[in-house]
Amino acid sequence: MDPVITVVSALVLTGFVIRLIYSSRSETRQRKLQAYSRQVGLAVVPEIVSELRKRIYRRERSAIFGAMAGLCVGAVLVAGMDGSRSPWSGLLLGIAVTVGTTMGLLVIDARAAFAPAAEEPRVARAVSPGLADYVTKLDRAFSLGLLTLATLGYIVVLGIIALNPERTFDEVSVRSILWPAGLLLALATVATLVTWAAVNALLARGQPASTYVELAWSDAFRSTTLRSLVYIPGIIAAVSTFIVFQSLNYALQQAMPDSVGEALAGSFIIMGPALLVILIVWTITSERNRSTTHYLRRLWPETASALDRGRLARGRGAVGRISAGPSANDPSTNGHSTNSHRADDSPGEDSRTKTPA
Amino acid sequence: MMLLVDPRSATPPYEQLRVQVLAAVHSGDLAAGDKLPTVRKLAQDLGLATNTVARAYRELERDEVIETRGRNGSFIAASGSAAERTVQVAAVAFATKARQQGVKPEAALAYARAALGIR
Repeated sequence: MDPVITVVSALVLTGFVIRLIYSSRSETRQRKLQAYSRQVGLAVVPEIVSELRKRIYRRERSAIFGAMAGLCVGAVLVAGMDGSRSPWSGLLLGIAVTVGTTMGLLVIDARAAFAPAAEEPRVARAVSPGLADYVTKLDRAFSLGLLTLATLGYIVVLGIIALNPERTFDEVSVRSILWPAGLLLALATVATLVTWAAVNALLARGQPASTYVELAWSDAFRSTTLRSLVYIPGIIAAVSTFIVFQSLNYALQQAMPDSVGEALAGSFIIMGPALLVILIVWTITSERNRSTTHYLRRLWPETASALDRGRLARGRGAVGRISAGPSANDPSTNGHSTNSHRADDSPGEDSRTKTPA
Repeated sequence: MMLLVDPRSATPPYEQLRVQVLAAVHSGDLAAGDKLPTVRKLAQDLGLATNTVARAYRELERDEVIETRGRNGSFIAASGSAAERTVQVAAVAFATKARQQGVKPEAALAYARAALGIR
């Protein structure tokens, strides 16, 4: 095993273990719950606060275990291929950790469908939500856009190398430029298919809930996991693009002044920052698009409207409150809810949502 | 549209489900073409056995409230005369188109009213 990779991996693993211990403390759990509550725009209801704390801790623990597993697998793969000689080892390890973290979240969310059923009323939607109810159009387009960009970039580079203007690539190891990015591009394509299957599998899982509040929190957790899932192929594709252009840039550093090689190296240098700018613009747009509360606008429109009003009045810290829902003993509901929480419902119609906290 | 099942109720769970779907269709909360959750998902949601949900779906299908389209799942069926069914299907297509084009429900309803000559 490569000593550099081993030492770095051991240090990062230690960091994860410290984080795991830290997040098990009750103050940390409370703080995480408050932060998550603000992020997803839902009020923390006293009746389920201990269950929420436990669930957030379990998610964090599962994500950390996933990250640790991803790191170990990534370290073995990197050491087996090129070891610390490859300048891209850090990026590959980063991808492995990201994928591992998301897998951890996916496992814990999928397992939540099998929570033991207590002898109490249960609520469920009559119409199943889809991916569009949890993830914004922009976030869904992110991965496919970056994958398309990465594929086009790769094809352009292949074309330039094939043309070999002024025999620029005669002294360059083309294989060392193309294989890491090509491998990642193939991985991004596979990841797109795997992500699609995982998203459908998660959406097909049940969301056991006794009240609307529990269902809304379940939606919040599911939304977070689905967003992490759809980002994975895009992140891998972005790294692939970055690597191919940076590899070319390194390879052409010795190009003659005023030659085509120098012009190419110059254009490849621009590609890295351009990609960075795209990612920053996307992050800002996604944040402005309020992607973390998108599910509220689609599935709990009344709460989303209340949240927006609360944010206007009190700033970003506001959260929306959802009523516990109908009681099975309430004769007015006659054993069935009249609540409508469909994306196409107009806000305020048949609302059971209270004012924001 | 939410479904609520109380395991402590004297009414069997499959009957509670059947009645609620039926009531939602009559009240218009569920419209022709709306896709119901899969039997397995609804069973997990409500903590019921899959056979219980499957029985409710079977009875709703027998009463022509829902229809199963192979692997695509179960959908609320169009009801009434042949002409009414055709219009219900067209209404679903209209609503889908309005949503896809980002037209607000109020505006879409206004267009439909105008087309029907309702002032």
